[in-house]
Amino acid sequence: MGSKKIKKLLLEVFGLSLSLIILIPFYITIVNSLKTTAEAAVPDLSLPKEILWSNYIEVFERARVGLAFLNSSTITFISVALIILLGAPVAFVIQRNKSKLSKAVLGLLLIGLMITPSIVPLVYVLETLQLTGTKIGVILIYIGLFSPISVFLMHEYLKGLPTELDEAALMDGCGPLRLFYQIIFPMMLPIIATVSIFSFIMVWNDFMMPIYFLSGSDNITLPLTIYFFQGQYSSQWNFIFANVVIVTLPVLLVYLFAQRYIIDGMASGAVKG
Amino acid sequence: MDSLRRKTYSFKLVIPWFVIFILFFMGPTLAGFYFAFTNWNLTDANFVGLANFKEIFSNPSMSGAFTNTFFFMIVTVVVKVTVAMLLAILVNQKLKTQNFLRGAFFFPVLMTFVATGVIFKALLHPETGFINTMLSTIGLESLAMGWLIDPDIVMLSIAGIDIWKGLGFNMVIFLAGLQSISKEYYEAAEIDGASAWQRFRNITFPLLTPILHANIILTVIQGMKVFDLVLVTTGGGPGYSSVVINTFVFDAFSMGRYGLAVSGELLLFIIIVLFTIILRIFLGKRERRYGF
Repeated sequence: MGSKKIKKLLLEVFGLSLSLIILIPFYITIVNSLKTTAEAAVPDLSLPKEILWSNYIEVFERARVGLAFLNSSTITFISVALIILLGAPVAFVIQRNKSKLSKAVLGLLLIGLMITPSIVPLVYVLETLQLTGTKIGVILIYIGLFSPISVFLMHEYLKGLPTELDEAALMDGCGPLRLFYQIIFPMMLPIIATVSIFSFIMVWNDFMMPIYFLSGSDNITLPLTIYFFQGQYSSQWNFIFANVVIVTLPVLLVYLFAQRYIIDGMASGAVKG
Repeated sequence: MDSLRRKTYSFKLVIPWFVIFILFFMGPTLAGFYFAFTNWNLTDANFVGLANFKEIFSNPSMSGAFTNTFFFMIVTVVVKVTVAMLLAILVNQKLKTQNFLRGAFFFPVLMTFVATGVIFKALLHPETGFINTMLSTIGLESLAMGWLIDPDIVMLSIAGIDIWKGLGFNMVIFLAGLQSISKEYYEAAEIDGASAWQRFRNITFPLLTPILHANIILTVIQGMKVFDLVLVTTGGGPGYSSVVINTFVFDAFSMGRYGLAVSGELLLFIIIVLFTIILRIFLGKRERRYGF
C-alpha cells in the first residue's frame, strides 16, 4: 500500500509541474498587463511595482475595445440565437419525418460537417446582397458555418425523445407549431445549452471571418483589436496583454460556470462529427 | 397518419435554415470550383484555365506554403496525438488534483488563436522573451534561439505554439474514450498480475483505437487549415519561410486577386478531402483488425 501511495503522490507532483507549462504564460500575461510599459518591456515573472488598472482603461480607448466588445457581443448573441432557433426545428423535422427528403437534408448536413467551406466566394454573395462589411453578413456566414454541427447534435439528442410524446400531444389537439415550441423545445434544453455554449465560443473567438470581411469597418470584433493593436504598438506588452485578458475573460467566465457542458460537448461533437 | 406526419413535421420549418446554409456555405463552396479557373478580381472574372494553379506553383511566395503546411500538420499530429493520450491517462488516475489538471490543460483550447499567438510572440522574442532570458539565466544560452525569426525553425516554433494551445482538445477526446472502457478488464488484468505497461499495451491502447483514429483525422484537418496563428506570429515571414496555404489565400484576397485566392482554397479543399478518404480507408482496415 505504501509504495502505491508514493507513486500516486509522484504522479500528482508530475502533473502539477506539467501544468506549469500552461500556467506560466497565463501568469506572465496577467502580471505584465498591470505594469508600466518600461517595466513590461521584458515580460517576466516579477510582480508589478505598482498595480496599474488604468492600463485596462487606456487599452479600451486606444484599441477601440469598447466598440469591438459591443460588436462581438451583438454578433455572438444573434448568431447563437439564430443557430438554435433556426436549427432546432430542422433537427426536429428531419429526425421525426422519416422521408427521403429528410434523409437528403441529413446527408447535406453531414457533408457540411466534413468539408471545409470556401471563404473567398462569399465576397460575391455579400456584395450581391449588399452585406459587405456588415454584422448581418458575418452572422449569416456563422449560421452557415456552425449550424451543421449544432443541428447534427440536436438531431442525435432527439432520437432519445420518444415519438409517443408527439402522438399524445397531437391527440389532445395540439398543433404542429405548438407541439414543437411548447413540448419538444423545452425538452431539448440540455442539448441546447451544450450547443449554445459551443457556438458562443466558436463565434466569439473566430478571427477568420472578421479579418476577411470586417477589418476596415466600424464592425471590428475583439480578436481583431488584438491583431491590429499589436501591429501598431508592438512591444508595449502591458497594453497588449491587457487587451488579451479582456478578450479571454468572458470565455473564462463561461468556462468556469459551464465546464461540464463544454467538455462533454467538445468530446461528443468531435467523436460524432 | 402519413399526411398527418407530413403536416406535423413540415419541411416549411427547414426552409429558413436551408436558404442560409445554401447561400452562405454550400453555394460559395461549389462556386469556388468555377472561380478557381477565372482571373476574378475587383473588375472582371474571365475564364483563364489553369493559370492560377501555374502561378501558385511557380511563385515562391506561394509554392513553399504546401511544404510548410504539411510539415506543420505532421509535427502537430504526431506530438498532439501521442502526448494527449499520455496526458489523458495521467489525468484519469483519480488524482486529487485531476479536476484542476484537466481544467488547466483544456483552457487554452477556449482562447482565441490571436491571443495565444500574441502571448507567445512576447515569450519567444529573441532578446526580451521569457524563454530566452530564462534559458540564459539557467546557463543554457546555447539553446536560446530566434524562435520566430530564424527561417530554419520558425515553422517548428509555430507548431509548438499550436500544440500548447490545442493539446487539451485531443486530451478531452481521449479522456472520453478512456472513461468508456469497462473497469472489468482492468480488474481481470490485476488478478492476472499484469504490469502497467501490459495493461496499456493489451487493454487501453487497443480499446482506444476508434478514439485514436478520430483524433488523428481531426488533427490532420485542423493542421492543414492553420491560419490565425501564422498570421499573428509571423505573417508568413521571415521571407516566405512560414507561409501556409491559408495565409497565401488571404494575401491574394487582400490584393483583390479573388480568383487566385479561390484556387488556393480549392487546392486545400482537395488535399483535405483526399487525406480524409485515405485515412478513413487505412484506419478503417486497422479498426477491423482490432475487431471494431
